[in-house]
Amino acid sequence: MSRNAKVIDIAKDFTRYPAGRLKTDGPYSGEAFRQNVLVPALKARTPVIVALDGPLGYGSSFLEEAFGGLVRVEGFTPEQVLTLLEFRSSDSSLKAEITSYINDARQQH
Amino acid sequence: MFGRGRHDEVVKFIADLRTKVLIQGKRVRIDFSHTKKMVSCGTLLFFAELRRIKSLVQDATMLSCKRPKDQTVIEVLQHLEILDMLGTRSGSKPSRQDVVTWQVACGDQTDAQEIGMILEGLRDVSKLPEAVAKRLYTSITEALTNVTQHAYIKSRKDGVSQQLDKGWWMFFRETKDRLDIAVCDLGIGISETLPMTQTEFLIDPLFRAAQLIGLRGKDNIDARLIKAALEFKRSRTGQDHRGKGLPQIVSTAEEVDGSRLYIFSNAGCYTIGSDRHPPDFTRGYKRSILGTLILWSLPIDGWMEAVT
Repeated sequence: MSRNAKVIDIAKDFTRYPAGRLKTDGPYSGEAFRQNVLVPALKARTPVIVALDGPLGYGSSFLEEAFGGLVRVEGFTPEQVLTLLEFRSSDSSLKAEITSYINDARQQH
Repeated sequence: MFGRGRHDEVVKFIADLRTKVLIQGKRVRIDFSHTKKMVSCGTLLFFAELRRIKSLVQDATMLSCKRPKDQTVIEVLQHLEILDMLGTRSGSKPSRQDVVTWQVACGDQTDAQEIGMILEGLRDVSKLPEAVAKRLYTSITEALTNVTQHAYIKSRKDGVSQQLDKGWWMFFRETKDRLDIAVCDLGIGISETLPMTQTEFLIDPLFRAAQLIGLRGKDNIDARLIKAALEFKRSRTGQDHRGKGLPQIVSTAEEVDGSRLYIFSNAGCYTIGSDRHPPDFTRGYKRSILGTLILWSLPIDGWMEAVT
């Protein structure tokens, strides 16, 4: 990943308490994170590091809507997303879960 | 509330309260003078319904109460600010450990800040392990996402013309070795939401079987449908991007020895880990709670083993 990559620290740049799928679920939903933070960063076509440590946890609804939604809703391909995004977390299972949502979203697109 | 007699008494009391105030427009005085014990599940349901009623009536004097004689009951009602809601002076602050350790959260959306702060507070004060706090946070927020998305998609069948379009209420307690969580909504219940939100369910064999068995068997269809809904959703985990909230809680409860989970929805209940009943036990009741209530009790040590 390039040294010029943009870093998105979810706890600092979004919230320590992510929850919910859609904006109608709450202010810190996966959809809000995708639309307000991820998509603007990805549209610059520069690499993005997503720092996942910090929040208390992530529900599957939040993760799928935020990251799977990049493919399912925003029209990116899984390859584009996985090339542009790098995930940093002390929890390897979390990175694997996010990757699976991105790849699975292709089938639903 | 698991026993049929107690369930019937509590649900009838709450239904009478709702009907008298919200449908008949009558003033009601609740007599707590003979109340000797308040159990978390029935208390949460009463607390939620009372908050709902108070939010729907303009006149604050519609509800009042006769104070309890039992000191613990007084403290429970003080701690939950129920005496204040009913226009009665609450007096001294509650101090009993079996009362003040219960924490309360409620909201309209899946805004999890309050829940997150409770869990972080427990981590600071009682050293709740981080892995447990994370798993708990994830499970609860997923369950609340389900509530926000599905529980209020049509009117509740309680005859009340004014309706809340959202809301959840939660009690949370950590004792020396267990976590106890009770969360409820006053929506339309699993048996009503499922065919609307999961249209494939209408043609699913489990659903059709539940309809047939429920109509004929000892248990009612609501109880059968809670179980059938969980089976249906879990069979699709990993194949669909929606609906992992409740199955996640059930899976966690199954993984941890000593867990107890009760899912009450409308007139049914599904339970795992009860001392007196087999796994996957269902029970039907005469009256519907008109919503969904989840009770979850877990041993902290057992959970640590499961998540690490």
